[in-house]
Amino acid sequence: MQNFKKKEFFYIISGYLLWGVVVVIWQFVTANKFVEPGLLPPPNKVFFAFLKHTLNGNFLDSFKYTGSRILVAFTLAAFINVFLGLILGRSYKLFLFFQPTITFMRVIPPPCFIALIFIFFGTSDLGKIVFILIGVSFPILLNTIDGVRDIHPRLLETAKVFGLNRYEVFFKFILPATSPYIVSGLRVALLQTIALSIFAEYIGSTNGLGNFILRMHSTWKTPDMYAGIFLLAFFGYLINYLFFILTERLMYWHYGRTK
Amino acid sequence: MRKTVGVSYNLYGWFFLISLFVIWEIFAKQANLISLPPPSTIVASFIDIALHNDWQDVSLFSHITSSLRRFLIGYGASVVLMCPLGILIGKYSNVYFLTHPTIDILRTLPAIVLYPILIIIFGFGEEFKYLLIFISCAFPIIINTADGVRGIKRTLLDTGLVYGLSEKEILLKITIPAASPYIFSGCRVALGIGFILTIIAEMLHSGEGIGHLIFYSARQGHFNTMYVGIVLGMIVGNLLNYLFENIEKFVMKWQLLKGG
Repeated sequence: MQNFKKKEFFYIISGYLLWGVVVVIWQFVTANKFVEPGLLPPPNKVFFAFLKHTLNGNFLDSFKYTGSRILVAFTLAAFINVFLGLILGRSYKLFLFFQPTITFMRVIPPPCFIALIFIFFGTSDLGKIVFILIGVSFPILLNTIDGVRDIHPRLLETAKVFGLNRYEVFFKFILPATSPYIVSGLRVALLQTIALSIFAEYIGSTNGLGNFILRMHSTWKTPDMYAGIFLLAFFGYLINYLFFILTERLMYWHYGRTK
Repeated sequence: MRKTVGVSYNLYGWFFLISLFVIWEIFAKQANLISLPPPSTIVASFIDIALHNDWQDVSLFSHITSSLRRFLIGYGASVVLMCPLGILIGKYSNVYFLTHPTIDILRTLPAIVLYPILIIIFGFGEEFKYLLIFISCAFPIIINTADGVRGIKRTLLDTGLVYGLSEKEILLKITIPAASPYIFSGCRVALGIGFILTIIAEMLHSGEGIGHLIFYSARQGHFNTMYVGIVLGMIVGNLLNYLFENIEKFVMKWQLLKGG
């Protein structure tokens, strides 16, 4: 990405090596029994638990359930809210009309209505997806609206002067101009979908990664629990990294300008 | 002309919102579902619980104050500890490159994931909640602060050097005011996340608090109380946001007056 000088390179590498030091300290602490083995298992136990669950397919199973929920919920939220946001951004009247409702609903913290969702939908997948949808919609919606309203009016006048029809105006002017805002909204939403889906699995689920972690926790299988947490951290990082690469690729023109 | 159009459509919007409530009221009274009480019942339960201190022998007020207490301790500690750290990271590029990999990896981790570890370490008490809120608020604040400080134009800092200001004065008079929009933005995001996490922490394990109110009354089937809890959560969240915006306006105005 950037061109690093040698000194900066050194510091970045030591930033990663720091984690190696942490693992070594971890091993040292558990080997000398400074902490109870139940609380903090040694790294090799965690590592083998990780391998065990990967090989016997537990992780793949949990991945399948959690991942599919996140994917479906995020894609739905993205499409619905970008669509709505574009409409509301373009039409000032509609925006003003729905503004009290949006401002009212957006303040409700998502965990407040998880109980509500479970009452109406049970602990089914649909319920969790609806929960994530509601919890995650508002960042995307508001960012999209902001993006559309931030388009310089001269840009739209230029489009009119060129005599473009409505579809061309949309795809060649509005969508590219709004996309930085949409992407920033989606980035926030991605983090929140992962968090909310894990929370939903903690509270009411019989499959999935959050449920796996909690199950290992309640049966005091601490190495497996830590393995699950590491998997989740890795999974979260992977998803965000993929998202970052995707958006960097699609929006090369924007990032090139702002770097 | 535009303004009158705006005002009238916004008014229609308010009518729309109120009519949603009216429809809810009519429909719920008709259907008489126990899980969807009409707003009038919710208000009635609210007044009932508030006046009679009825729910689990703990008054409504102390539910609210315990939630606020947890949130303020976790959030306050986060701001106080993470802002200086963020300024350090932004100012010294060595520190930035050292911590950048760590922060990059850790910030995608949802704080909820750490709940089992915290329970194991601290047990079912208050400490794990404080730490959960602290950790979840820490990342937005530190990332935004560092970005803000890093993005300060070189010319501003050079001006300070030219005027012969000491390091401390540069920090107080140039760095912090210049980075303050970013710092406030980080703190605002952290406010939202922190409040959500207090409610989550209370839902997962607590004796009192708004999250506990919602979740346990739902479990027992007292759905009216659950709705009261949801409304409370909304009101408190709104209040916190409102307070924060006013504090932000006040501080920004103060800075503009000073000419910083």
